[in-house]
Amino acid sequence: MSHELIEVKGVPKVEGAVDVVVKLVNDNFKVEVRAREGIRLLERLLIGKSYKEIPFIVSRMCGVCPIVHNITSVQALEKALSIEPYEDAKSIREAMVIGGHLQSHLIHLYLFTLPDLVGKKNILEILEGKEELVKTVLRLKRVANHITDTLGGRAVHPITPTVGGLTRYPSKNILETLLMESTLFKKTLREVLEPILEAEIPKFENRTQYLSLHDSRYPILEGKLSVSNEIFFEQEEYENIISYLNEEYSTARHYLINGKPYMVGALSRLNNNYSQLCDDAKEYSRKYRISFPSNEPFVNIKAQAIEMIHLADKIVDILEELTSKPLKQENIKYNIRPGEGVSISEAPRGTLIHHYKVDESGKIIEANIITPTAQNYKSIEECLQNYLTTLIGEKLNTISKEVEKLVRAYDPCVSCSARFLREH
Amino acid sequence: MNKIRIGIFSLSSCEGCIVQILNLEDILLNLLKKFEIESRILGTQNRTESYDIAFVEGSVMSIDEEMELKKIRRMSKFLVALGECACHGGNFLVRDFNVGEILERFPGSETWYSNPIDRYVRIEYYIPGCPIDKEEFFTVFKSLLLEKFPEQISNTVCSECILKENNCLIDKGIACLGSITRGGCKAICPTFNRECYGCRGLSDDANVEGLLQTFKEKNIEPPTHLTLITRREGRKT
Repeated sequence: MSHELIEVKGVPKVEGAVDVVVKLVNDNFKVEVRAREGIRLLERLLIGKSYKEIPFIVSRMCGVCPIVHNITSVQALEKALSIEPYEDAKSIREAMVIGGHLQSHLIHLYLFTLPDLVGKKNILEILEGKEELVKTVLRLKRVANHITDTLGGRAVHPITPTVGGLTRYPSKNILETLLMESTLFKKTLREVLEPILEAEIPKFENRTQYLSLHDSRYPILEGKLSVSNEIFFEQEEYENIISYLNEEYSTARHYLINGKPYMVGALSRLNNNYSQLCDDAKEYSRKYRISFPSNEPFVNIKAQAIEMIHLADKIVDILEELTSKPLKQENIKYNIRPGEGVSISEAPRGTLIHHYKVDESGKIIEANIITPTAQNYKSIEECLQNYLTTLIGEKLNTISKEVEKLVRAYDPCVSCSARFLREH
Repeated sequence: MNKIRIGIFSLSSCEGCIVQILNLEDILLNLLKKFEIESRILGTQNRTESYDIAFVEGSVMSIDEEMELKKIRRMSKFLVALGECACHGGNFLVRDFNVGEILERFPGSETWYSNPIDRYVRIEYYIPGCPIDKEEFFTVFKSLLLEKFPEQISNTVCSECILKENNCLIDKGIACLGSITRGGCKAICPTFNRECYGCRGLSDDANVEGLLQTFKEKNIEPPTHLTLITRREGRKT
């Protein structure tokens, strides 16, 4: 016996269109998280294209995190061609990616999540009484975007990252300006963190597997992979560890590890790499009594805030380093050759996999892209099923609201995930 | 006086155009205060009334989206297509593949499509680009408040690039489409040494054959999506 209990159509304040359906099957909750956006066929249309066009196209998968898509594909193609760019080019790319992470976290934390935390409907209601906070957040967002605008050409769908390096290098003056701006960012960020870090979140545990990169320094663009610091594997081995399945009800692909759901995102990164955080970030998590590893999905929100402190610190370090000596404004020369490359990075919403095979003329013959949100769908479903059992007896309206909040805590990005055409 | 009501809607897309609106940090707060803005991404959705101006990004990829679009049209005085996907169906990105080949690999995908929104409803204005230029959005927005439509830009990316005194990429052997593409983007890609890929659609007087001839003379391979841009039915923007 099965009947539909709740349907949340188009969860508000998330990136993209996603529906959540809660059914009652033989007295048990069954949750379906359905990506509703059109299937955008991205991997398929990469086939036959020149490797040079790829980074530009894949950034169009997502308007919220285009930078990390773009740069991860560049890295994968560089591996396929067996080349590695100069350190300075890599540092500039990393600064760009951090700028993107910061703006993405700012949108998620303040535009999407803060209203939940303080019992308001949306950012407009927060404006009444907290206008200064919103103004500061927007100022921070502008700085984060200015970093990517300046280094990448544009914050949405960046222009400069290219196989071998960058199409244009910033001048020393520009880097010095950005250093000043990011130092200010680092300082100002402290003013807005309290409402997030202090906020009361539902106390709810859901033990699961946590996948992220793992490295000697806090990982963004390189590293091995770790599942809850219990299983470790190399990037190239991902296909042996991660399996996929299709659900009839969704336009996105779903993924499992060991046949079970797993979570990716800031919580997984901190669970697996807490000791690599900068001292300031650790101090803040101690001060607000947020400890890692954590099994609480809502802590993902706080993990993003803690992570911002680390990333703000990191970007200042990178820019200090880049301005301390003459910049190497040169791309690696290379010959086109057949090859295969995997690059795995940490996007704002979690582990992102790009994998390409290139033929002798530089044309793409195979492509596989696994986005963070697609990996999280099964985890969101499992987590919601467990969360709902804690809400038995509540009004349906309250339950719907809580469903929305939990989905939002995962920070899903539906555009990224809905691009798979079912193979019958 | 009642506030002017603005709706911002998203069909199938990357939502980058909406992100560009959010990137107008300096004026976002004033926009939110002075107008009644409805958008799912802001959590301010409440489709019970009408809109003075509706902005729609994304292409139509399902009957549901078609219905949604038609509903938005009925409720709106002005409807503006936002970005490449809404203006052209995301031609240069999502539609660029061999349909025969894909049917072979994925049977049952005959029904797959990605259409520009003016195939279904009347559009008052187009803001092209992938993503849109946020300043252009702001300029158009201000005009619409006065119920005046700005003229669609008719010059090419190439002419904007020349004004910036950039070095010509075609001279360097790079397949730049700036000379046939509608301007308005301030030639942002060529300025960062990257070829124009035609995301804003063809300019009014685009001489595609002339460009192909130049490519041939200079031994430059045209980009694969150029045929799609030129094959496009009618020229709307």
